[in-house]
Amino acid sequence: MDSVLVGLTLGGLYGLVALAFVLTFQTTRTLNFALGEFITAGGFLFLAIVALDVPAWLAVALAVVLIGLLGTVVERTVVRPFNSGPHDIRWLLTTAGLSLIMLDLLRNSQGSGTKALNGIGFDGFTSIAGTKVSTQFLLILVVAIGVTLALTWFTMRTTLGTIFRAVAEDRETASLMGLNPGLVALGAYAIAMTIAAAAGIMYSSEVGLSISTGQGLLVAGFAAAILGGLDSIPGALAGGIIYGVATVVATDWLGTAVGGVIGLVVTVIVLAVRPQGLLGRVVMEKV
Amino acid sequence: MPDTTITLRRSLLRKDILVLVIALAVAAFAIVPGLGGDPLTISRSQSMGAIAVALVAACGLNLLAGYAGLVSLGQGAFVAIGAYVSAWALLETGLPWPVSLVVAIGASAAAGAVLSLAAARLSGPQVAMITLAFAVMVHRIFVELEMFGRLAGYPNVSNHDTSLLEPVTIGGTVLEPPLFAGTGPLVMLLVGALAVLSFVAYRNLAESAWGRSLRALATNEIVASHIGINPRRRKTAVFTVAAAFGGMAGTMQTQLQAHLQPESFTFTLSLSLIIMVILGGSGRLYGPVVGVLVLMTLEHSHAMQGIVEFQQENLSDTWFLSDEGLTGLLLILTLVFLPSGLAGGAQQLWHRWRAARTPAAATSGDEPALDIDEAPIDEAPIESVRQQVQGSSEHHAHAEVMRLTGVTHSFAGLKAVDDMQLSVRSGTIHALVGPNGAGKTTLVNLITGVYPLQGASRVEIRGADATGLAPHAIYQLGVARTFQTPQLFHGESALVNVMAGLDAKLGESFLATLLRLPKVRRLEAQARERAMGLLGTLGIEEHADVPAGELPYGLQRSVELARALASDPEFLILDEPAAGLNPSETYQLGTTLEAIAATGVAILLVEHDMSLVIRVADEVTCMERGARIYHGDAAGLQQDERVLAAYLGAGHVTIEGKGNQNA
Amino acid sequence: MLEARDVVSGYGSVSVLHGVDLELDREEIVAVVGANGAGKSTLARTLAGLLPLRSGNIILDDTQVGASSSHSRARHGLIMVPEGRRLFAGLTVRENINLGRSAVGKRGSDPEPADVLGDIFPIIKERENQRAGLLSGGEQQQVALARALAGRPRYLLLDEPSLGLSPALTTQLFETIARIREHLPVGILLVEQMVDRALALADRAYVVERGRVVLSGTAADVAASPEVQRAYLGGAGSAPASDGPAAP
Repeated sequence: MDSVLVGLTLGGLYGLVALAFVLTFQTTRTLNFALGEFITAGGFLFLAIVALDVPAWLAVALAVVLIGLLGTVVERTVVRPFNSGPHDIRWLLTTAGLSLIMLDLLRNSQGSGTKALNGIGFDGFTSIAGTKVSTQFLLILVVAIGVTLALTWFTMRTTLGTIFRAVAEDRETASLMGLNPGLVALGAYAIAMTIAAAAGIMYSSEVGLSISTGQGLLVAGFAAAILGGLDSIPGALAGGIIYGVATVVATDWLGTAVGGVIGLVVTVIVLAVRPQGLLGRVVMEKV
Repeated sequence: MPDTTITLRRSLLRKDILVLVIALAVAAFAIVPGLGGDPLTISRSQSMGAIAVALVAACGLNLLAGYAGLVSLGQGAFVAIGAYVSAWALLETGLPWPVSLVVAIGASAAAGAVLSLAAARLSGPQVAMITLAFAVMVHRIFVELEMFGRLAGYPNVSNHDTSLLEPVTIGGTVLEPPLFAGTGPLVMLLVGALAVLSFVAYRNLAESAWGRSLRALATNEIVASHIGINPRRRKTAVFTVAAAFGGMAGTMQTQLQAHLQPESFTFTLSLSLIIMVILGGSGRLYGPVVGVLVLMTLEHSHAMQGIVEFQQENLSDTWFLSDEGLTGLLLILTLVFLPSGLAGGAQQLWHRWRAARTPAAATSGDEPALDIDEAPIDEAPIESVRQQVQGSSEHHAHAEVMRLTGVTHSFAGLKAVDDMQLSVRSGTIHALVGPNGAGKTTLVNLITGVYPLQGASRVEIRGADATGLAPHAIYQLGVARTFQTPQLFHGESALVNVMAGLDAKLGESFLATLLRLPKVRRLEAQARERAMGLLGTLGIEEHADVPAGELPYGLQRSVELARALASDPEFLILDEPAAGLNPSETYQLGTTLEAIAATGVAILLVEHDMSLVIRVADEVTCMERGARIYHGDAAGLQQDERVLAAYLGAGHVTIEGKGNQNA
Repeated sequence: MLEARDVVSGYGSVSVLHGVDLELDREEIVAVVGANGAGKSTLARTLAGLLPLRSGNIILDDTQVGASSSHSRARHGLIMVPEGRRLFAGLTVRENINLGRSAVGKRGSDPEPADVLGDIFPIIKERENQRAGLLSGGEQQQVALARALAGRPRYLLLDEPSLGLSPALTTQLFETIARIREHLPVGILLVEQMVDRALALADRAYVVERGRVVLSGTAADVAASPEVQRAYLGGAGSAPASDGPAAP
């Protein structure tokens, strides 16, 4: 029971990372393989802004917005030119290359030690039904649920969200209606990278920040996103929670080695049975 | 023509031997200078060993990512599994080294097979995600598992009283690793031999029916299944094979270093391997060789260091790119400026240079081959089509080859095909016409098994019940088809495209292909011979070596027709073969189709060009909104009220009467 | 006026249109007819900006738009209803139609187009909150037309609107198109395989064959010409002239 609750709170974190993947995939059919470095960069940017004597809350806001803007730059320069159609997956390689570049820059400029993020987040634990869980992770879970609900509301209930859905469904027809799919892609990348940076800051305020912080979350984020179907906003959170609970429960019962593997094993089993993921849709290839 | 087949076989054999000799010579050149154990050559031997390891891993990855188009970001994981398992087998089980090698490769392959359970059902981005996740996870396992010493490495002093594996021995000779100055690193001989063997195996697979089937998968799975490939099984196979190559590379690494550290197998290793493949030219035979050599040379050269120092002096001494970042940048630049890699770029230059030298061959495709009014139709090619397409010489005159009864099909509740019936007889051309959206292509997809049949729909092919068979099983019944837009493997030559059409009929076993047994070479020669012959009968043999993607549209259609004919079909389905052809090309096509039918092949011709239909069709069926509204001969078609109404509008037919008129 | 001058375009390595000239004025209906594969849809897609222009010019009310994207052409008043309707299946009928307004930019105080267009298209009011993917073909065509009109086009391209519709629904569709012409100041380019229906409705017509305009003129003249039947049913000429399309 303890481990289920802990897994649940971790699942919120994984769900946030998965959401960042899902958002860009839904609208543009592309993913940012450098997402891990965006998560890390969010943390370091926060530290850099705080060092200028900016209040912590303002530093968080500035950091996530700036990383969001960086996301639009990446979409325009590293993704879009390498995405000419469904069979073109060069964007996958260019963003993976970008990941190497960003990681290297961070290593050279920030060193490889672990730094603490002070002044934000909660310390200590909260007791739920007799189980102690990290208050900060609880906050992340609440944020993850909040973001999922907000994004669901945004896409289902607002005009802009309707435009996002239209572009996600059929770019070509959307452009015939005067919608600019390029702008939607920029918007999706901005929101996704903002979420990634926020997740990075919240996570590292609890466990500290190093250049490999983001990469550590990448696997869980990938697995959670694919589990959910890569196409579904609630699916991302569901995938994250499944991954989180499975990992923590297996670690407690069977040790770290099994715990490290179990999430991916679950993912492989689910995909072998249901290639479109838990909440994804089936797309048929045409000739 | 057995003489030419024998010549072909000999030339294939000569080429195989030549490649083997060159590979051995290169390996010897790389290894021999260091064998004395001169202290100055130890680091050279280590570099050569690292190159050999990367080469074997990259070759396997090229089969998966380059040939089959499944971009894996996790090849490093299989290297790690191979390395650790072989070390474990040597250290803990006391198995003889060749057995431990097999065990390690088997473990890697098994891991690949398990991963493919999920990955073989996914498409591009998901494959990359799941393989990357796998690579990160495998690295973490070796960091966390106590039995592999965690960060202390494997083996380590505290658990095993030594940090180095015992070197393997062959007949009493100790094969020392390249670690100690003054000791001859004889293990380099073993590593070199394994690298050469792996490369030959890689080449045997890539240049074979099996390799061509991977290209088909990468182009379009539905097309691949129509030339007899079972997509999921083949994807699982290539995942497993790529993992086995990774495992082999890992065992070589174990031999070279005698000690393993988890940090050798981070996610960066997987990325470096895919970068090598892309840089060299993914899907090109020698791509991985070029990529590995160039990238490893760059990494070990002073150029990288020079660039780093330049940045530090002129830009910033904290924000600069070192090796890893520069490699990432190199990947992006390669994709911008050289998307087909160094080997691909060189190949393109070569083709351009050759095209420039033979202007006639380069341009002849762009102009109409014939003008109907002036040029007489050459009967020679027709006669040779007759000779070539002599699949079943003992066909019954106009026997029924395919019969379709009661076929009804709905998509999401909308009826696309409505109680259709159709039969096609050998030696005849049956045209299927009808307005856009009438359901013609859907019907073809139902015949070849793309869509599962619904309800009481029934398809019979050559007397056998073909209801519910997948496209690759339908192919085996002697059915071949072309597509509305030609679906060729663009990077491959016209010849290879045609050969892909009959590969699945040859039934070469995987093991025979891997070892390139003499039988494989014979079949390969026969396939090449036959493909060349078909290109000749269609009058396009001078384009045999041109990449299909560079051919003009009309010629692409001819190549696709040749590919369909290559499997010696009893039943040929052509989906709008005249679309995009000019009048003279269309005329020639008609002549060719008549000649093919004359050999006893049954042809179903889906076509909009009425002049072609009227000229060649023995029977015509007209569809409208999924149903048959006319069946008879071509002359009657033009007089039929319902057909006229379907095409031109219902101006002279009462709407009420439409549904109930004669069938 | 919407003008195409010597338009060449196609797919991949293939040219489908080999120099097409065409004009469309506001408040007229122009039909483009021809056999399947003649290049009609390629023409519509090139005009709308979905296919790049290889050479030639496209002029929209004195502005050259040959190089601009399809969404900017839509914002300049050129809107296409694509072949097969292509509604956003996951969106409701109302959402689909209101999306069409994107082409006119923000008009905060305007009533929602779904309300305005309800008069021409009764289906909107009956099904407004239903997912568009669940509509029948005829209903989808109505919504697709409404969605395009919500963008206040000055020129409307209809690519094979009758495709897959039953004769009765086709009749209904052509009545709707006629009603649009009565109510709205829009030039309509009708790419259609139902030749006699299209010609009965249109003011002028172009016959396209193998990527070229082989005949143009008033719809009545074109309907009377033997070229039309030849373009559809082949040149064997065995069909008597009386079987040709009935002129209106």
